[in-house]
Amino acid sequence: MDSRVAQRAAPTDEELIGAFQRGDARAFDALVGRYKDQLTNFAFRFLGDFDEADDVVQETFIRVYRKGGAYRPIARFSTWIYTIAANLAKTHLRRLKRRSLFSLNRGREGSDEGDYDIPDDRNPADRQAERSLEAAIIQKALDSIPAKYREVVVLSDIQDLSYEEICDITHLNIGTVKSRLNRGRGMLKRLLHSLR
Amino acid sequence: MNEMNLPELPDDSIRKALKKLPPVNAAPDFEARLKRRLLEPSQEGGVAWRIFFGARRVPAFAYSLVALVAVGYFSYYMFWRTAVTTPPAEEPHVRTTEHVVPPPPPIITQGEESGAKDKGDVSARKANEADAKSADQREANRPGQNGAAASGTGPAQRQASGEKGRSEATPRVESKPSPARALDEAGRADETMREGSPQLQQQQAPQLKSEVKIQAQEENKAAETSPELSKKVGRIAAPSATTRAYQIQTYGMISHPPADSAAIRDSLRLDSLKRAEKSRLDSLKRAKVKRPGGL
Repeated sequence: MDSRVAQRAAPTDEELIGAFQRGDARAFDALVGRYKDQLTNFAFRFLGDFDEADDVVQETFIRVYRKGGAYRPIARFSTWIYTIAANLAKTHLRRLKRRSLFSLNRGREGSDEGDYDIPDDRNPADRQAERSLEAAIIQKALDSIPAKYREVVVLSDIQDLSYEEICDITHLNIGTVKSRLNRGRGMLKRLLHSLR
Repeated sequence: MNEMNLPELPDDSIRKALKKLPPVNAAPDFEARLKRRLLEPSQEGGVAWRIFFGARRVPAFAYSLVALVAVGYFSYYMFWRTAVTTPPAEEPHVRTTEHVVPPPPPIITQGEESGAKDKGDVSARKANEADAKSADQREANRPGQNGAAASGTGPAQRQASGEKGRSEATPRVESKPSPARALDEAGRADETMREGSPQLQQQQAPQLKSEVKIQAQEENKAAETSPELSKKVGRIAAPSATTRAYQIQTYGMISHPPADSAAIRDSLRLDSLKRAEKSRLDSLKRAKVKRPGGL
């Protein structure tokens, strides 16, 4: 009886998106409340920039809002929304790389030449994320490994998704996912060892 | 959940370190900004337009434009441009001497040429027939000639008379255009003479001489009657009477142009036209003479 009440109280993601497709705007708000932090965390760890991560997550929810009718319940909603976020994050990352050619403060690939910080008081979350030195070092190491390995490592070890979900999100087979995960962890280990 | 799937890895410390990372939450005003953005009108079409015609596309467009212009330029010069027209064959340069005055070129308009072409064909045919008839008559009237020979060699004789008529007309026609044409015509006459049998040549030789003499006499008579024409006739008739000598005299002075089939064709057409005109005039004269006699 209690479990039935709980199911009624907390509808699944698929039920919420179904309700949204039928025109329920509150279902969309509920989905935003559920996924905004997860997606922000994923995007921040993947991109290494809070503003970019915030923009990616906003864009993800806009896509869901405008193209929510395209969702079919053949896959989990979390996989679908992570796929959208990952694709947008990759697009933003390409744009950031292009921009970093002309930027002064984006020495991402391990080089500290010309790298200086511009104080930014707008993002308390950013300051919170980089509060501890260890977190900052790990984030720097994550930013240093190639995106294809970083994506898998973040989805697996930070977002705690299963291999199957990662396979669905990245459209890779499980062998490739495991291989990338191993190689990404190895790279991180070497980088963290050298940074410490 | 993931713990069950993951195999035992040597870099377990990395996993633990990553899991220890503090979670990054969305900004407090995330939902408010999201709602504001959702209420904004969709600019996807405009965005696509701006992406396609953005400033970063300018180099690509410039390269495309340059490539297009290059291809257009190349194709124009390769496929669309008309072939280079060869310059018209120049008249042969004649070194003028004291006694050789190059005759003025004939003035032929386009309409005259095209109009005369149709008429000229008919009149040329008539002229050939009239020449053949007159040659037969002359052959018949000539004393000491064998009538059987004249009648026995009918077609050959006609052909020869046609050639004779051509050679008769040639000096008058060729005296007006350039000497090169005269040379060509004379060469053609020589060839036809050479092609004919020696007997025919022997028969035609005095005939040709007499024809030329008659023509020269007629022209001289006309010149005597009008003193203004005397100079012109002298100029025209003299080479016509001694065309061969003139040609031989000036042969070394003429630089021969390369054979131009169009020019040869034109000269032949002009020859036939002029011969036809002459024969028409002759036939008219004869008709006028015959009418009173016939009545």
